[in-house]
Amino acid sequence: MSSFIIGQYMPKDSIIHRLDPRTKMLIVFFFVITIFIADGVWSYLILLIFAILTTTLTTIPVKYIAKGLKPVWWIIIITLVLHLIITKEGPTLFNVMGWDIHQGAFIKGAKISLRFFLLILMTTVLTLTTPPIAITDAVESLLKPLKKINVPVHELALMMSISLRFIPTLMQEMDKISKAQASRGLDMSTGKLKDRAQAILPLFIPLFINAFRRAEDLAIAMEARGYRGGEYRTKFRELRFKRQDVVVSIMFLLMIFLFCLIEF
Amino acid sequence: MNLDFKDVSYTYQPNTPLENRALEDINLSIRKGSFTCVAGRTGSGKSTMVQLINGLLRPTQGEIVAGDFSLTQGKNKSIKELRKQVAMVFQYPEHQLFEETVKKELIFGPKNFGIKVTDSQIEQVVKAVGLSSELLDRSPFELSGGQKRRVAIASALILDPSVLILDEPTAGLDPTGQRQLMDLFQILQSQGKTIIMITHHMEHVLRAADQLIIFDQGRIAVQGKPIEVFSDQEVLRKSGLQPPDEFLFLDELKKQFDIDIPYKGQTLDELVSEVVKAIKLRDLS
Repeated sequence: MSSFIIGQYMPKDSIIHRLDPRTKMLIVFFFVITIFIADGVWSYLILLIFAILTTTLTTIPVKYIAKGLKPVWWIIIITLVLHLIITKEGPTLFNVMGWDIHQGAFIKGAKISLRFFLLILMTTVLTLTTPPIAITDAVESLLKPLKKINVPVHELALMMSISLRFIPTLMQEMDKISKAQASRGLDMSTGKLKDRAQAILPLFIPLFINAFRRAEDLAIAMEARGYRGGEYRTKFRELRFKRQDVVVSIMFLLMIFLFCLIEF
Repeated sequence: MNLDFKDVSYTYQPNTPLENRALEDINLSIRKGSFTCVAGRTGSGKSTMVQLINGLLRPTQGEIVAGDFSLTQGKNKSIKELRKQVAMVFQYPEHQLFEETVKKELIFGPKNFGIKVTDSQIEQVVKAVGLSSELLDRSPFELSGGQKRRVAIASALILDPSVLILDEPTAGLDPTGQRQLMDLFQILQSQGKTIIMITHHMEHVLRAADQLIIFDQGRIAVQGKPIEVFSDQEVLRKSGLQPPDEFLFLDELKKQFDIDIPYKGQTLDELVSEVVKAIKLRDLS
């Protein structure tokens, strides 16, 4: 569990880390859209090169990322295999145990797998290089126009940052509770399925009770400090676009331009 | 049972950029029936050390011998058998309660280990931790904080373990509650149980412990009899601890009035009369 890196932040001092979170979010957003438009081999190659370049620039060891995405590898492999079995397009290549494997299946399977891989890789790079709080700030800043039509943007951002903030806390708590119950003889890994299912209760009841207690404490603490939403509130960390953001954005636009040239 | 750590190291998340060496080459031994206190800053490795004892964590290197059990890096099948004998009470153990009634909470452990407990055993444990048996049919969530803590401790004691590990059992309790719990632990020790307790209260250590181990950055900074350890205040301060008031007082006495009284476990009253005697002697001369 601990080696699974989706959503984790890895503090380092690279150019990607220093970018404005809004730049990163917008790039990832448009990158994902581009992934779903891409069709030809060359377009995928461009996207792949861009993704690899970005990943390299983060200075996070590739081995660490590859290992952390282990569960994702499995999904990718399963997708590929399913495509090989189900898709029946193009000429038959060969025959495995009575199943015809078509050429189209290879192409389609590879495409979907690559799409999925790029999608996960870029979003992971985003979360690896951006602290959750910066992501929330970026969301709030990007959604600001929606305030005009009475969308509670600040409150949504606050809810997001609170839930992000408490994920590690709750995971730690879960770890502690499962250790405490293991000391009392709770066994999750052996026994009948029914017993194992029941073993969830001693973990989840304390976890939920603690979560509610924490929520209440937090609400009281916020009220005690006079918190009342986004009105008249200034920010300690103000987001500002810098030159590096412009440079990176131009590079991204260039890539999109190249992509469009090849694709259309 | 005797507990021995042999060159034990423990690393959290090994081979990742977040790798964290929590313990390094720890050698220590805890004799059967002794009262050992463990202290140190947050992140010094003390919690890791106690979790290694009942197999919640496995050493990255080295070996822990607990009675007939040997814990190494590999899989240990008999871990449940070990946990039956080595009970662990975590910090804020009241956060682990989940059953509908106190009684069900208490028999949760025995049920897991396949042990039958009689009603009289339950009553005995409840009385030992200082609760009234009327509470047995109440929900644990209706109880006060201190009562919940006692229920959680009772749920470990009902297994009649030979080793009891306590992680800051008195944190957040009022002074009376703290003293009552410390008394309970000392009674348990006198019944032959081995007690291992993490604490920051050096007063508790002075009263109860046979051995004090102070951790600093994953290593043992100092270990020995509490009185010996307290005499070197430099090491204590480095680990963010303060010696008990008695030591501070005697130190100050020596500095200001040049009266040297060695501390060897005197009670407050005995200390007072010794100091008075020393002052009178000095006035005479």
